[in-house]
Amino acid sequence: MENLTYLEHFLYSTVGSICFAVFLSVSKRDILLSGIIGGISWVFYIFLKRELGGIIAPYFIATLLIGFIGNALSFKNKKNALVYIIPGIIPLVPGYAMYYMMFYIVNDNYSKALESGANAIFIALSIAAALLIMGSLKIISDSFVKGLDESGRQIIKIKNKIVKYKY
Amino acid sequence: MGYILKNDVYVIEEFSKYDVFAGFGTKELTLEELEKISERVDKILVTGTQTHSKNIVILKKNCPESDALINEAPFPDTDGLITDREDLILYTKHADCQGIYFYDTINRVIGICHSGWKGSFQEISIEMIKLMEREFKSNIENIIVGIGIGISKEIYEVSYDFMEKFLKKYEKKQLESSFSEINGKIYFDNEEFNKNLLKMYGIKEENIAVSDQCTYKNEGLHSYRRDKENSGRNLGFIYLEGHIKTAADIFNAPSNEETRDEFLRKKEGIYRISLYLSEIFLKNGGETYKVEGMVESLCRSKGIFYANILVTPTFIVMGDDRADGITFVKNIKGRTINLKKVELVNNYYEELLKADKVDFQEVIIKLRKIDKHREYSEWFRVFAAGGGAAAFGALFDIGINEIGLIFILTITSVYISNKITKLFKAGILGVIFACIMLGLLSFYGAEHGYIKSSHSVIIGSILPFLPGVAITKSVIDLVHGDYIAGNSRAIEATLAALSIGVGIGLAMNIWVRMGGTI
Repeated sequence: MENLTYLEHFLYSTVGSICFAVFLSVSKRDILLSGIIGGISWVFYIFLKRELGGIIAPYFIATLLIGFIGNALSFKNKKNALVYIIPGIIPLVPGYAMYYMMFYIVNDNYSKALESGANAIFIALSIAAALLIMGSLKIISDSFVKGLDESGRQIIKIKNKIVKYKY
Repeated sequence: MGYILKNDVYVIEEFSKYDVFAGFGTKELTLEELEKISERVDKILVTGTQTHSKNIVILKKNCPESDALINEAPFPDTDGLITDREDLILYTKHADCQGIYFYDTINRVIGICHSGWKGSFQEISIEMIKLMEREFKSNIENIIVGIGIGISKEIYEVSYDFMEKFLKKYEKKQLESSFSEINGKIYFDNEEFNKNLLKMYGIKEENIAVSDQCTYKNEGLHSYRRDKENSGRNLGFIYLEGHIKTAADIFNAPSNEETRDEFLRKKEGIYRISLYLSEIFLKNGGETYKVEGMVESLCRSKGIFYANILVTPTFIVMGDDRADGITFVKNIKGRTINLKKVELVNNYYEELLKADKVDFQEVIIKLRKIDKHREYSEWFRVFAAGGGAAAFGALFDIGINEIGLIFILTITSVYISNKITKLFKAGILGVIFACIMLGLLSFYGAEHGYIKSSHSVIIGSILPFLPGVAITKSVIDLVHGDYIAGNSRAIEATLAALSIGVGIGLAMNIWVRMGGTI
């Protein structure tokens, strides 16, 4: 992971995100876009990991970016935000931390296992927190721009027939 | 008897006796408040643009020749409205001018007109009764009239020319009670004048309700003479309350054109569509909060304002709290992610929202088509999962052998877990089994030197099973206040993570017990 250049990271993760977008049946028109979002956010995550270090901050900030781009695009294209968010989120989900937790448990190294497990939980929580923030911002922007209430209801005037008979 | 103030509205008691709501609003009853009332009783507001004329619009039920003139309210240059339809609220705007309410107790015809002195002079109230007689075969003995609240005779000072005008048209005797002279000033009593007109035309005195209020003196009402240009308008309105009297039913009255049966059938159709729509949406990964908003908007757009829907990831309940309420329950089984279907349903929903008329059969067929839609073939999706896992595995800086193994392992494990899920209807079992398999195979590969290390291969191969989607959706639901759905999704995510852990852990355990090393 450390030896690859940013360009390689971008290419691999974009291809991976496109593949996962197909796996989740994202519409043909959107797969390229959601793949690129996945690529950008992964590169951003790698950049943060190299510059900031730590466990939580890179995930948190990278997810904020995904949430922002995803919600903004869904607002612009009037599509479900999931289409853009999920292919980006998948590589960030802490699979390797879970794997190492299991690995250490089987090897009777419980302190290491606990460390990995805690990592997994913190990463998941930081992803969730970032999504929470972006979701809340989306509700606020929706209510400002579109006049929707919190459950996305639109006020619609009904058309009705009026029979007129004038003198 | 007379006018009684109830919730910001002066209600005419004589009309209430006959299930007719005739009211004169105070300042508190703005047009928005009236719109709320109309929404509550499920009726449409109708008015004219008042010009002190004696033009009257008649809105008849089942009147085909007038069908072409739809949706033109407010009617231009119109001061009077008459209808026998139960789905309308007729209203007029007044500041000092009299509003006059009419009701034919036998044929259930209502009318309202705006009668300032110009209207009174042109005898719009008599015109109203004439039209009711002509168009609805009303008998004058059955018509009751309510003269609304206007400016009282002590305030309404007029000029000498004004009186001259009336004197030219009417005999002095007729006007005696309507005009009074105090200290050289002339005052006009519009209420009395109209009452006289009606009495002369043949309405019995006991059938005429008058008020003891005055818009000028009562600070709660708008008055043009008092407030000049700043004056707002009092709203006079009238509607037929329908013969169903229970509180629950009054808001549920079907419009005139459809019988109760037709209305119920329509309601059932809309509920079925809503339910099917939300099922597809939910099954394929749509957000819970969105489903609720969608269904509510859809029902509203088709004239049902009280539908309720409860959506959780595992079941949907839809119904209402009316006397003839129907409830549908749907169990949701087999949730997958298919964002294309979510998009298709979303687009179709927008289409339905705009549609005027909905053919239920057609909609169901269309939805069934969406339900069967496949953006990519099953195999293509499985291969894509393999490609995705391999591409992200490549980020771990591993050799070509490892990447190839990730590709193959992911494809087989996704395929196997899909098959098991379909067979036993239990997603967790499939994931556990797939994880055991891919764990054992990669340990075997590492042991025999095909790959350098099994770690990155396993980490790559479990990518498609990770609960990223569930975490995302759980958070989205929680943000929108859907705690039941959010919690269920969180549990789903935890279980998915747990089953991966169990699968990998079992594989390691088996491998170690079989004498292998990791």
